[in-house]
Amino acid sequence: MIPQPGSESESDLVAWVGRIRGGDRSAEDALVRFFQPRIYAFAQRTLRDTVRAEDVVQETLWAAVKTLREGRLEDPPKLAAFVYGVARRRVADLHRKTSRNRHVEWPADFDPPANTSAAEEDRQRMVQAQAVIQDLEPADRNILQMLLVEGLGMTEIGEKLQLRADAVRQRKSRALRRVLERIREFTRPVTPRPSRIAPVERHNKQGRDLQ
Amino acid sequence: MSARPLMDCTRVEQDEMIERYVAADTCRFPLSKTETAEFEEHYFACAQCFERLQAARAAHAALMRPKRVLHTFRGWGMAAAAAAAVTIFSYFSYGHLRGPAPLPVPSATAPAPVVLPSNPLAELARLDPPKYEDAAFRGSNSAAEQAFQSAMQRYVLKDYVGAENALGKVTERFPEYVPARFFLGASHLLLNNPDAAIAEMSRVLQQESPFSEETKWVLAKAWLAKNDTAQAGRLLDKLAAGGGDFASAARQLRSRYNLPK
Repeated sequence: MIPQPGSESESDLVAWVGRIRGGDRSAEDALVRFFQPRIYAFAQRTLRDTVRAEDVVQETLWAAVKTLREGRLEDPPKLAAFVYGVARRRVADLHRKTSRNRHVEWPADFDPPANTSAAEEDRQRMVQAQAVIQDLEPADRNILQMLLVEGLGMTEIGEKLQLRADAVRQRKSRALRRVLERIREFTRPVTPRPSRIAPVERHNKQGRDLQ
Repeated sequence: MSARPLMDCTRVEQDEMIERYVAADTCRFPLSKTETAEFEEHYFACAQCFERLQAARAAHAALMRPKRVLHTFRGWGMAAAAAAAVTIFSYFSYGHLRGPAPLPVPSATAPAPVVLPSNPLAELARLDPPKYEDAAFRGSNSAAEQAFQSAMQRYVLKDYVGAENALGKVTERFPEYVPARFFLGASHLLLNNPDAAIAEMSRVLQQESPFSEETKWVLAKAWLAKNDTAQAGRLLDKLAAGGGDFASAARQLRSRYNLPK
């Protein structure tokens, strides 16, 4: 079974720390796939700018991989918190900087898995969500609109629609579960690269995958 | 007194954190800064909550898209005509829309020179979309600014119908917030609604702001769209006399098309 990206457990995260330290490129790929959408979701919400959010993704992932390659993460179970902290600092840096249109390239010795941009994946998820929402019952569609766009609470929505708050919650959960299932169907499958651990060559290679 | 539970999936569900996070701009009870940071750190590790967040984000984005105006052709016609007008005007002028520039202060470069048209007033009235960049809001965290930035995502995508809708809501909630009103007025004109543009731009001019010069320019364009060359001429005179960024373009527009004084 091909695992969905992002479905890894916390024990997987801890395992990556040691594997990346050992030069395992597939573990780096897994780390990138796991954190890329998370960093993007955080950065895009804060910066309201897809280009700069993508820059934060690149910079954060590279900083994380570099730290792990060099064995500098002292507390492996805190990997997620560490990556989040790096992303927050990157966003704070962008808020302070005055230069515009600063594009960040991956460093030469970092070869992340080829994939579409986080912004494009967001767009694809939105398209799938739109298809689901169009098929919802009007009441369920209204609930999502009031909840996610207008920012009303369950009780308020219940009063407007003359439903109990727990009924609103159930309908909301059911509608979002449909969106989630649709997104899962269309999420690209993960084909991990073969694990390559070559500690001897690591000192000499340029960081590219060995053919 | 019992301590608040640490962030976990149960608390995320019970406190409706995902919904409050996604709808932060409009939510009456948004997450506090501490809650936001705790929730973010949680979803960086928790696959289940992040999946649910992604579903909510996708649904939010889908719901924010402008609705198709199926019951009236006028809505599509106006939007399509405005889009075509902007495209054609951009093709013939130098100042086609570039990427984000310093904002919300008006662009430091003068607007594109006007080209001789076959229908003078129609061409004169066409507006190059005022540039927007959110650089000025870095570090800002007010509710008005966040709501404005969210609404401007539609504007940046040239979705002026969506921008008009979203900016209208921002000005309802924050009537004194000038940048939102300015870009709302611009969106109205880009959608060929000069009356609404004039109403908004007139309110912008009542307050001192960095938008004054550009507001007069957009307002002049709106009056030209209504075929009122007298009003347009008066505004262009003020711009020309002011010696600001739009002085040269205002003089050019005036003299080339002999607008009445």
